[in-house]
Amino acid sequence: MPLVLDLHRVLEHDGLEIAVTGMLIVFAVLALVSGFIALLPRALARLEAVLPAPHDAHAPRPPSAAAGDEVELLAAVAFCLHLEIERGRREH
Amino acid sequence: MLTDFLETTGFAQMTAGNAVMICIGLVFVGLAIVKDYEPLLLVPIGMGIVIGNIPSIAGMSSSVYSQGGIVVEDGRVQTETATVIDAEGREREVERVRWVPGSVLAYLYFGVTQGIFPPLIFLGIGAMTDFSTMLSNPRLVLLGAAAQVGIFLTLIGALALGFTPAEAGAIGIIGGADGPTAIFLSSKLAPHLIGAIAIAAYSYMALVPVIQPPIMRLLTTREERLIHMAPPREVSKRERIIFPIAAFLICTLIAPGAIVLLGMLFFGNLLKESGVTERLARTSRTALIDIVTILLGLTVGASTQAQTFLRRESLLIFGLGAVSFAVATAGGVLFAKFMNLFLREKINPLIGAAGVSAVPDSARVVQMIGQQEDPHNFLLMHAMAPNVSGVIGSAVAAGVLWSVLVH
Repeated sequence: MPLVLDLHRVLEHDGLEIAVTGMLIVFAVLALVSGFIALLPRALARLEAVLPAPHDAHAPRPPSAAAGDEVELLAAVAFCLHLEIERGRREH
Repeated sequence: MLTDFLETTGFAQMTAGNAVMICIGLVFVGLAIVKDYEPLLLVPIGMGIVIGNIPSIAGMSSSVYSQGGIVVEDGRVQTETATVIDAEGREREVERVRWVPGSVLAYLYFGVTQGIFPPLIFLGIGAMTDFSTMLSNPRLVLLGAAAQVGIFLTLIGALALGFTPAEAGAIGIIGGADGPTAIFLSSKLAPHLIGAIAIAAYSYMALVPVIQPPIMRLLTTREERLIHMAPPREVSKRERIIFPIAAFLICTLIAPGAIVLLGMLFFGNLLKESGVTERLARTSRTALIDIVTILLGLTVGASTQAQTFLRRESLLIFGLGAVSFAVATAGGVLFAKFMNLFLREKINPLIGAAGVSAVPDSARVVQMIGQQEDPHNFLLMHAMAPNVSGVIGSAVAAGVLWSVLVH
């Protein structure tokens, strides 16, 4: 069967109308989404003054002071061990 | 006995069409393994094509089309006598409706024909998508809309070639470069074309690195490809949480046909961004999407039996799909150039090509082409914005076509 392009069929089935309307709707939706995204930071900045962002209970916790102490303690123990080993070597 | 058995083997019943399709399936698997083209999709689809084209024995069909069901002859439901064991453990004979079971693949294919798998894939995509780049540069959202021009121009082309409006809509969506959306819409508008449309959509998605670069180079000058863009701003957690809810409301109140796909996409994203449902988000973006991808890929591949697939229609669908994809890429790039006429801070028009959904492959292609001109130009993050907005745009387009053409 030969390949026939019948543009009359496009008009008959409102193809042009569907295509133009469809494209306009997609643009309208994404333009609105774009506008919303552009306004959101400003709206949130105003909201921040009234309703500050709550503390995030699920956020990863920063290293605690205790954890910092542990690292320092480990470093001190390692240093003492190193000194002891060096002293032992010199004595032998 | 031996002759009877030999007559039932695949070799005896194999047609030339089956052999061609098995070769195509093996090419898909080969492309995935050797060239690394969309392996997560092409391996299941390729293997599905091989499975679907092994001839089955009469009465033991394993095809996705062996759906089974109640037997009706001459317009009357058939009954049969069966022996059952009652509550007291006694055998007794009952008359019941005659029913033929379907094949396992047919049951799995139910998720495709009824449009169940695509929304589940969208849930996973939502749970793995970071909309931050889009939120940091809202202008780029429009590029995702421009690239949908491929869908609507292909619809016109398909109508002109003699397809019905519903078939033309299903074929046009290939230009959205979004496999799940293409399957979803074809399951609603033209279920008999699902196999060809799905294979075309996924093939072109896998061929993004081959199809897009020549179009991108043809439509841009070297100076344009060298444009550097300012790094995206940091997006607050509040913005990331509010976005999926607000975007869902905006999109679906205007185009309610997109509620299934976009509902799942934004729900998945809310699971990710809320920070309180990490387990659900993790399951959606890992186990769930993987399981559904396997089932969808395998059964869509198995739906391409030579007898139903090797037809003039399928070739036309492949041709229209290629045109659709090329037009979508060109639409994105040209619209970026058009936007530059009005912008003080120019955008690199290459990122317009990422407006076709194909996440994240088309964004990667933009990065690759940009770096070929200037190794210090990093466009990936910028290209992700039109890329994810393209997903939203193609789902909206699918919703519009569904609501307009379903009758």
